[in-house]
Amino acid sequence: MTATTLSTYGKCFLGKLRYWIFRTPLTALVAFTVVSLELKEEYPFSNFPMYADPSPGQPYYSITDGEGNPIPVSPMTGISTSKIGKMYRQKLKEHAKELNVDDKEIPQAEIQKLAEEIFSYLREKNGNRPAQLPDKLQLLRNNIQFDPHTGKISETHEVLARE
Amino acid sequence: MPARIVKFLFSGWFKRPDVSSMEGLLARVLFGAVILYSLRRLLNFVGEDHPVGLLEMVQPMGWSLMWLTEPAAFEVFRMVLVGVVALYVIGLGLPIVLPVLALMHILYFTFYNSQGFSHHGNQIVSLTLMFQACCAVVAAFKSRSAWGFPDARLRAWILVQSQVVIVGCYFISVMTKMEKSDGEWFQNSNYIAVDMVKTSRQGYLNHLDPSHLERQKQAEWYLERPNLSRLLFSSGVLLEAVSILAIGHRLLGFVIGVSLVLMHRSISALMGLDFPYYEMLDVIYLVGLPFGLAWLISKLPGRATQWGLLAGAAAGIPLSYLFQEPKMHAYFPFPGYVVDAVQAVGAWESWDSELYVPFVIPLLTTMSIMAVVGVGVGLLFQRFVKNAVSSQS
Repeated sequence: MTATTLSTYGKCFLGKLRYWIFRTPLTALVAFTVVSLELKEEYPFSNFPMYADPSPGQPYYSITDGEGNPIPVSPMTGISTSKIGKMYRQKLKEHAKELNVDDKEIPQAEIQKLAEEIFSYLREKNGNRPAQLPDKLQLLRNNIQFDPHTGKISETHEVLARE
Repeated sequence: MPARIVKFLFSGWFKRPDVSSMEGLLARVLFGAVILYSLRRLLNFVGEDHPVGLLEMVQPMGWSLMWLTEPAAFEVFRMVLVGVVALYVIGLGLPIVLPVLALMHILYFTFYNSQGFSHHGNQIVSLTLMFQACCAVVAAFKSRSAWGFPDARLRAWILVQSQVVIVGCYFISVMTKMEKSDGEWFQNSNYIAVDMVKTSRQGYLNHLDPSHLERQKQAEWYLERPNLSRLLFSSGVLLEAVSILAIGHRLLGFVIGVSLVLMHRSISALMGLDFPYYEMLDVIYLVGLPFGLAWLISKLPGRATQWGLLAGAAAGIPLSYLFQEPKMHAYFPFPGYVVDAVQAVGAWESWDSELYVPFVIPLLTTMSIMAVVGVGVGLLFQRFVKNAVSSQS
């Protein structure tokens, strides 16, 4: 197959530039990259932020029964622990934007409301599944911390809200 | 010498690859199977409270995607999808078929991502369809022939733009890593092992399955060796960055594509995180499975044997139903089995699963045997029918 070559556009700077813009896939790649980084999470675009900021402290969220015992949330609701964490963070971000405050400054009463929305969502998803959710649920924020000096991993748990 | 190396590395960007009609057809068959597989499940979400993308734009006008949760509506959606994918595979009407396919895929996963938790494994399929649609629409503006079977130019642009999307997804993630870590990603990359601990905990909490906790020992091993960890985790990101050299380059596409699949398999083993659609698209558009298969088929003597092989393999799909275990007949009753055969794509994710092994092996074996039969019929056709016609004329 014959392709349009650089000589078609001339060897001057403008000719080379026109060739690069109109005849190579780089224009599409650059446009795609810029649009995706700008739009972030607007499906089908994404900035793919997975593991973008590795650090020695990593939080994650989990659901327990009223006494703090873990429950197999995935088969009970079809929602994984990681998705629950994403839901909570998304709600927190949206709510902070509404209140025009930093998401670390949201009052406990508001956090309780957000958590109740998640509990309610999980109960709807639990529906008529054979394994039923316990009567009371808790939302926990867990923090894994690695200490580079001692080489030890520690973990703390904080109850964010109770049903 | 360095100039020759640079020229070799970047040469893919400056030439249009030759894509035979057979390679184009096989790429559409494989990608068509991926599309059908990705849209196989009825979504049972109970709301769309966190709209993204198109839904965010149309929701204020009273539009909703909740109809995707209704079994009857989803049945119609699937029937339309099967018809449109069939046209896509044949290669007819791509300037309308591809935008419709792209829209269907985007709507389905826009709804999926509007639940408040974004998943990053499906964008690559939607975006590839979107870019392929742009190629076909632009081609239709230039020539009416774009409505028929795709010509060499359109086939080449569809391949190149699909590669742009695939490597673009990796490249964008590299840019985001650099931005979010203030350029310190490589220095801090050893802490990815802390993420391994997190995913092992989350994996355990999903099903209370203690086997997930075993990954913590591996994570601790990496944390004890920060420089080795930096080297290992950084190599993956470097690979993602240089993947842009695969565009339009058959050899580099193969090498980088295989490396990316191995990278995904390593991430799966270390963290339990799977990105099957990335792997599938890497194999189709970077590694060049359709290119390799088309090359092998081109070595068969005559077009009758080549088309005999394809027809035989296709006939093997419904025929394989006879060789499935009775329990598979219950899962996939005939004639829906012909479309359900696309579930075999799931073997990519769970090869050792009890569902897939007894299902996939009879399917692939029957298709292979029938492909050989097809070649035999093609040879007989060439020897007797063609000779008879030529001797009469």
